[in-house]
Amino acid sequence: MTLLSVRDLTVELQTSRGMAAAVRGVSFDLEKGGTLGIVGESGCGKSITALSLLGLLPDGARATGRVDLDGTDLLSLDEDDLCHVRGNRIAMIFQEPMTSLNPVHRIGRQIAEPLRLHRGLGGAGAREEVLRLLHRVGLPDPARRINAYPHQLSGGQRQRVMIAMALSCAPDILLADEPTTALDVTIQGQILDLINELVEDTGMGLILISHDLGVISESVDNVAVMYGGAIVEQGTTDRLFADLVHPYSQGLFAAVPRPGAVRGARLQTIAGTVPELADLPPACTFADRCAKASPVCWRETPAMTAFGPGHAAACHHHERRGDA
Amino acid sequence: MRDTVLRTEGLSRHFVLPRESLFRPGETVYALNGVDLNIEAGRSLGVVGESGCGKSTLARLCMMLDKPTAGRVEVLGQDLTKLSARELRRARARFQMVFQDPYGSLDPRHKVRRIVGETLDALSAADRMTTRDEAIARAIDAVGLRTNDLDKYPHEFSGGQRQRIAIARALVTRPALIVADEPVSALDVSVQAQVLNLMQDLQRDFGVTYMLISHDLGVVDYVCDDVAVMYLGLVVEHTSRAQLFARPAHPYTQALFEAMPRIGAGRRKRAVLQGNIGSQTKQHSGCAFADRCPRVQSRCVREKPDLRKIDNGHMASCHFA
Amino acid sequence: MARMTSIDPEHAQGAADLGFVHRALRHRSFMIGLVLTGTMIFLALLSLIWTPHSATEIVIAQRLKPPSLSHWFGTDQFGRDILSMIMAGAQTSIVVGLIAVSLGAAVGISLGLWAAARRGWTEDVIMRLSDLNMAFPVILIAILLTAGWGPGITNAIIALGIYNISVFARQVRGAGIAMWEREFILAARAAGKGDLSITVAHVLPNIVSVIVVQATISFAIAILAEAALSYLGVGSQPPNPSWGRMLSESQSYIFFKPVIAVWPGLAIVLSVLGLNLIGDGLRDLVDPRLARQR
Repeated sequence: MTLLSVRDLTVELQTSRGMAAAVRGVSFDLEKGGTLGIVGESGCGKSITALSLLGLLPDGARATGRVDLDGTDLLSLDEDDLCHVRGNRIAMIFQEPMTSLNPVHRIGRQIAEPLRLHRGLGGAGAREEVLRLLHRVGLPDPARRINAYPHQLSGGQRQRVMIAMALSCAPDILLADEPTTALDVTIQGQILDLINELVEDTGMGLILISHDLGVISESVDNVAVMYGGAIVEQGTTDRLFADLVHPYSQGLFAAVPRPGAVRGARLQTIAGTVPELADLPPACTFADRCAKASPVCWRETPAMTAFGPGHAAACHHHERRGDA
Repeated sequence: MRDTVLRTEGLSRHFVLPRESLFRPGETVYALNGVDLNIEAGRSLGVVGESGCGKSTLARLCMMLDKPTAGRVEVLGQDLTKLSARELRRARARFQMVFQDPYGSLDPRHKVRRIVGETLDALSAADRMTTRDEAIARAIDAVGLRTNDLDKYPHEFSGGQRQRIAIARALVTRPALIVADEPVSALDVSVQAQVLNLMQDLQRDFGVTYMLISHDLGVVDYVCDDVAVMYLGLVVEHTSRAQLFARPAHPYTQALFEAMPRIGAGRRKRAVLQGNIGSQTKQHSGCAFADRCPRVQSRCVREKPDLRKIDNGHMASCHFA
Repeated sequence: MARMTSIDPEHAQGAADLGFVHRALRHRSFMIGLVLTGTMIFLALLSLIWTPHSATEIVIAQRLKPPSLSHWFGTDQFGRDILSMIMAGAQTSIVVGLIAVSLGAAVGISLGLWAAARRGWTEDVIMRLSDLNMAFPVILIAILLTAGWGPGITNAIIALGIYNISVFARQVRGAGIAMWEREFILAARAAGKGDLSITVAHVLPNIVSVIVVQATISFAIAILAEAALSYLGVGSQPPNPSWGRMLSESQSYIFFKPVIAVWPGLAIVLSVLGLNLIGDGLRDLVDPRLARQR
C-alpha cells in the first residue's frame, strides 16, 4: 500500500538572482514500511525535497505538485495541520544532532516534550516512556543519562537521542537527512544498524538522504539518484547498483575511491563542478557536464523511462548505451 | 637506501584542560602518546583513524604548528624541535600543509596571487630558485588553474578549485613533504576524485612525499604507499597498503574495514564494535583498544602491547596479531 | 571527519561586498543615521567659514529673544545667537569625538591585536589593566585630570581617549582571537610567517568591520560624554561654544525660557542618534548572514 506519494514536486527558492528551481518535477512513492534512499551531491535538491515534505522550506520558497500522505495533500495544509503531521506522522533527524538539541535542557526533558505535546503524557508516565525510548535506541545507562545535557554526550549518543525523540510518537515515516555524516565510521555503522533495526521492528517507512553511495546501498531497498533538482535514476537498490544507467550515476560511482583497487588505476571524474541553481541547464540539468550530451539534451527534459523491471532513468541516451 | 623525508621519534602531546574546579587540577588530554614514524622519499604515508585518535595533532606536530610534549620531528634529517624560530621559518619551505576546509583555509580578503605567494615571502631571496611571479605561475598551472585566476578572490571559486589553490600554496616552494589533513573530506564525491587525481599527478611530476591524514580508507589507499592506523594517540598498525588491505592484522583495523560502507554489498549488519571511542583523558595500563575489542583477553587489560614486527614490513600492536 | 559544507560563509561575504552600496541605500535606519550625521558635519564645517551671527558676541539688548527671522533659534541669556552656537558647538563635539576615538582606537587596537596574538600572560596583563581602567568612570578620570592640570577641553579629550583604549582593546582582542583560530592563519604560520606579519596581513583586515562599527558607537558616546563634562564644567571652557555648556548655562532659565535648553539638547540627541543608527546599520550591512537574507 502506498503511504506517501510525491508527484511532480517542484520547489523554487529565492536566490540573489531571482527565483530558481531547486527541485524539478520529482516523483516517487513510499510503501508502508518501505525504505527509500535519496543520494546526490550538495545542491542536488535532496534536502529541499525532504524539507518540503514537512513544510519546513525557507521563507519565500514556493512548492508546487502533490505530496500525498494517506490521501492528504501535505502541500495544501496550513501551519497548524502541518505541526500535527511533523513528529506525529513524519519525524525527521538531521546531520548534526548538537544543533538540533537545545543545549540548556536535559535530554530527558527534550524527549518528554513531544510526548506531552502529541500524546498527552506527563509526569511519571512520560519519564517511564522516555526511559523506554532511550533503552530502545541503545543509549547505555539510560536512568543516569536521562539527566545529561547534550554536550555531555558523544556525537553518536546524541544521534541516538535524536532518534529516540523521532520515535516518541511512533511516526509512519522517518526522514533521516545525512544522519551519520558527522560521525566516525565505526559509530556510523552502529547508528545505521539501529535505524534499520527500528524500521524492521516498528514497520515505519524510511527516507534516508545521503551523499554516500555506500551508506545508501547498504541501508535501503529503493534508491533515487538526484542531480540538479531532478531524479535522474531510480530503482530497487539491487538492480540499480548492478547496472547503473544514467551517465551521472555512473560518474558518481566511478569517482569513489575503493580500497584494494588496482594500483595506478585513475579515478574517473565528472568534468566541471555543480553549477549554481540559476545556471543549471534548462532541460537535462546534467547536460553541461555530460560526455554524451547532444543538442536534444539542451532542448527537451528527458522523461523517466523504464529500463528494466524496477529500474528507470531520465536520459535521452540510455537506450543507445549498447551501441557505444 | 632512500632518504628519509620525515621521521618522528616518541612523539607525544598532552594538553592540560582548564580546571573546572578550584580544588582539582585540570584534566590532561593524552592526544598523542609516543608515535614513531618514518617516511622515505617518494613513499607516501596515509594516517587513518577516527576522531580523537590524534591524527590531526600528529599533523600539526610534524608541521611544528604545535610543540611536542616529548619526542622529536626530523625533516630531511634535521631535528625541527631544536631549531630557533628563524631557522624554523626558513626550513618551512621544505614541508608544507594542505588543510581540510577549503573555505576556511584561504583568507577571504586576499587575492589568489597573494595567497599562493605567501609561502615565498618567508624565504630569503637566496633560497628562491626562480622569481616570485614565475614560481606562482608554475604552481597555479600545476594544479590546473589558469594564470588569470591569480587576480581573483577565493569566493569566486568552488570548493574543489579552492582546494587546488591551497595545494598550489603548498607546492610553490617545491617542498619535499606535504602534510595533507583531510584534504578532500569537505568536498563532493565527484570533486574529491579530481583533487585526488591531482595529488597523484603532483606526486609523479614533482616527486613530493605526502603524509595524508584521512578517516577514509579508500582515499588513503588511492594516494599512499604505506598506511598507519591510529587509535587513541598510538599507531596500532603500520604497513604497506597492499599488505594492510590484504591482511589487516589489528582487530581495530579489521573493524574499520568492516564498518566501511560498501556500494552494492546489499543490506547487511555493519557494526562489529560496540560502544564509543575511549576517553583521551585516561591513561591505559593495558591495550587502549581493550574495552571495545571483540578478541579481548585478560592479558590485554594488564599488559600494553608493543608495536612489533609481525611480518616483513608489517607492524602491529596486538598481543594476538 | 567528513562534514558536508552546507553554507559557504566566504561566498556570502563576497556577495556582501558587491551589493554594499545597494543594500546600504535600502537600509532605512542606516540612511537616516547618515543624513543626521551628515547634517551635523555639514554644520560644523560651515561654521568654520560662516555662521548667521557671531557665536560668541554678547548683545545684552537681544537677550532671551524667541525664534525670529534674524535669530532662527532665538537668543540666549547673553543675547548670543543660538543657531550660531549650535553650529560652532558641533565643531567642538566633532573635534573631541574624533581625537578621543582616534587616540583610543590607535592604542586600543594595538593592545588588542597584541593580546590576541600572544595570549598567555601578555593577554592577562593587558586585559587586567583594561579592567582597572574600565573601573574608573570617564567623569572621574576627567575630574582627576582637571584637579591636576586645571579645567580644559584637552583633559576631556584625554579622559575619553583613555577610556576608549579599553573599549577598543577588548573588542579587538575578542575578534582577533576568533580570527587566530581560523585555518588560514594556521596556513600562514605553516608558511613561516611571524606573529606581526600575520596580524598585519590577515587579522587586522578581517576585523576592520568590527572596528568601524565600534568607532561610530564610541564617537556617539564621546559626544555625549563631552556634553556631560562641559555641563559639569570640566570640559570645554567659555567662550568656546559647547552643547554641554549651553545646557548647563540654560539651566537657570529652564522654568521661564525652556526653549533655550531644548536646542542644545536636541542637537545632542540627534547627533548621537545618527551615529548609533550608522553603527547599527553597519553591523547589519557587514554581517554576511544578514546580507544573504535581504
